[in-house]
Amino acid sequence: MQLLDAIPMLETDDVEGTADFYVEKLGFKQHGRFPGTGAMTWASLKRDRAQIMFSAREGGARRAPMWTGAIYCHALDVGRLWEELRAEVEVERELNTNPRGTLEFTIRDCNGYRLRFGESE
Amino acid sequence: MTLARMDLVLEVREIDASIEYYTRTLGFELTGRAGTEGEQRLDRGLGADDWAHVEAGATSLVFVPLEGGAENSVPVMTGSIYLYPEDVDKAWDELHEHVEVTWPIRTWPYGMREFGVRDVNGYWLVFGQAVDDLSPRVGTLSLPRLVDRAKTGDEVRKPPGCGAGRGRSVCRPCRWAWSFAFPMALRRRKPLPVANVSTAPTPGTSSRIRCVRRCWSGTVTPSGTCCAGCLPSASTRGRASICTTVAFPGSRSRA
Repeated sequence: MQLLDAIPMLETDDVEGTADFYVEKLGFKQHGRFPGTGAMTWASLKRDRAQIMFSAREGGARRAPMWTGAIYCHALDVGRLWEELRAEVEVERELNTNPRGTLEFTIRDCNGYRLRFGESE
Repeated sequence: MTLARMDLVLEVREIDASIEYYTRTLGFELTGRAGTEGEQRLDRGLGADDWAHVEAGATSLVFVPLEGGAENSVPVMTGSIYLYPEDVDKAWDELHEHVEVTWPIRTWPYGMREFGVRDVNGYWLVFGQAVDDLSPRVGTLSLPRLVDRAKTGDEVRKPPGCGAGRGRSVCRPCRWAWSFAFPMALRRRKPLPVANVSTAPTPGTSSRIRCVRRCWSGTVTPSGTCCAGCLPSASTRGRASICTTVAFPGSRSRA
């Protein structure tokens, strides 16, 4: 079995707001939406080779957005990306060099999902 | 600023068990592992520095230990990881007997054919493929593929338990497919609009009540109420769900 790609599909209470956050603050582009018109229940966001999908949270029983994991984006110039994003978003971990020698930083999106950006090898 | 690549970092209970599951069961490739040299696993306590990479197409999954330790926390994700196999039907055939299926393969109205799996840590995986062809299917095969198979002489598989063609009742996907292929032989009943009794026309107005299912010919009553066959019953929970009303302005009511 050949797998072509793996993309996270995360739940959110506010698909529109999340799409706006990714587009305005993180420089993503809206790559897809459902339904075609009216209130969005699903959105696909893309920046270069990073892609994330968001779907509307089904009411009630499910818990608030939470993930024991993160999206890790490899940026070509993480220092510049840090300067670009630092004032716009909630920073969890500032730009630092991890034990393996990679420059990286961690932020939280508007739902609290964790995004890590590291220098591409 | 270019984002050259994306990985998904998943905190897992046991890294080795996760590698085993993803490589052996799902067909991922192990591309990196902390504490290994060549093929040799070095035996040392790695703690939080422990990690592994498995790859699927353009994206890798990275396994790291649970932040709070496996005793204190459990893997959670309000969402799923969407995997795109080259051929979702083939992936289903290969996998469904070896994994915990959360929902079997089906085509959704939004044009994706998908099935769901819960992985060894409890994360939800969805295997999906966009289908331009939303035509009816028998089992996992669309009609065009079914016809192809029939032409090439391959065995045509039916969903388990389907008695199609042996004089037994036809299962739903088969009925759908058959009605598509042989519309005259298997007339498919369209879903009927639900008519509430209160929407029945008032007596004396020029309306016609078309009763369906139980009285196929269509019955019109002078009082504008449903015919006996369409009266709401306990089984329809008080709604005349088998009766549709169609108003024809100017037409005459007839007994």
